[in-house]
Amino acid sequence: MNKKAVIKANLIYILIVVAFIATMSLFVWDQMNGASVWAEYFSKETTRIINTAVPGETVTLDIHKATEVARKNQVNRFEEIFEFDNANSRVCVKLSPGRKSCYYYFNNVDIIEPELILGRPINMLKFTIKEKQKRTNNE
Amino acid sequence: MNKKAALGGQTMFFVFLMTIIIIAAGIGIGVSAFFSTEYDFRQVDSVLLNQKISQCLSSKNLNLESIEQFASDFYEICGLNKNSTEKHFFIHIDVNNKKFFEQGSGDQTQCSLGEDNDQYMECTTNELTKKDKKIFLQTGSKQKSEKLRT
Repeated sequence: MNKKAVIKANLIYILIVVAFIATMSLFVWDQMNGASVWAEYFSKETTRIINTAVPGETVTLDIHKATEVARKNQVNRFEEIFEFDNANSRVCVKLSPGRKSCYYYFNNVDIIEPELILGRPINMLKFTIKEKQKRTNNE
Repeated sequence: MNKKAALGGQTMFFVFLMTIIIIAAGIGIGVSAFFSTEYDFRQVDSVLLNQKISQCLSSKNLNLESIEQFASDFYEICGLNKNSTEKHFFIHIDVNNKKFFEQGSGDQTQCSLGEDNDQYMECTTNELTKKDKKIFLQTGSKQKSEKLRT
């Protein structure tokens, strides 16, 4: 039996193995990218800062890693990456399309003026802590 | 072509495919389990909450005689968000060894169980004295990340 015939006979197996290796590599690489883990990390660390802060303080956080992961996953708009929900006292971080990780804080404060500062020299998130405003039931 | 050999080859194809599927499932489950482990923040939460309340009890003028008065002033004076605290955290206060104030999700039993089992609440305790009153403070957190679809 010549080489061509051997290859032809086993072509389907070779194709399946190549497809398998490619799929598994993509899957493992995607998990290592860890958008879900980083979103959880940043949401929890941000709430820790909020829980220890007092009204009037301005906080600046290094979020360079978060913006790198978000950009790799095609999440480019800042408003999408960090979301401060003052009505529910929670912080949400979205680093991959279609999914965000949220965490609640117990400090009775509002987060105002969130701002992304790009490349000076790293990407940073800046926001101000303010006393909680009373809200009506409609909010 | 030898038909029996061809049939054997075709049968082995399905065995090969099953093997590939089982290996792929194993790798997928293993990698997902490894990378999806929760970054456990409950102990940090309970320590911070405990510190905040301890500081408030020590320095602020809270009424430790009347439970009703204390309950109505506590959240505002200590700067805690009532809704968030009641849903995700646990606070228990004893004054002079008597139960004085308890709110939030959970109880002291869960705190005891949490010492040996990660599935239960993570708690922090503190004791302080104020104006001859012995205060026992226990705070807990069982909050896990909320993963939401957008």
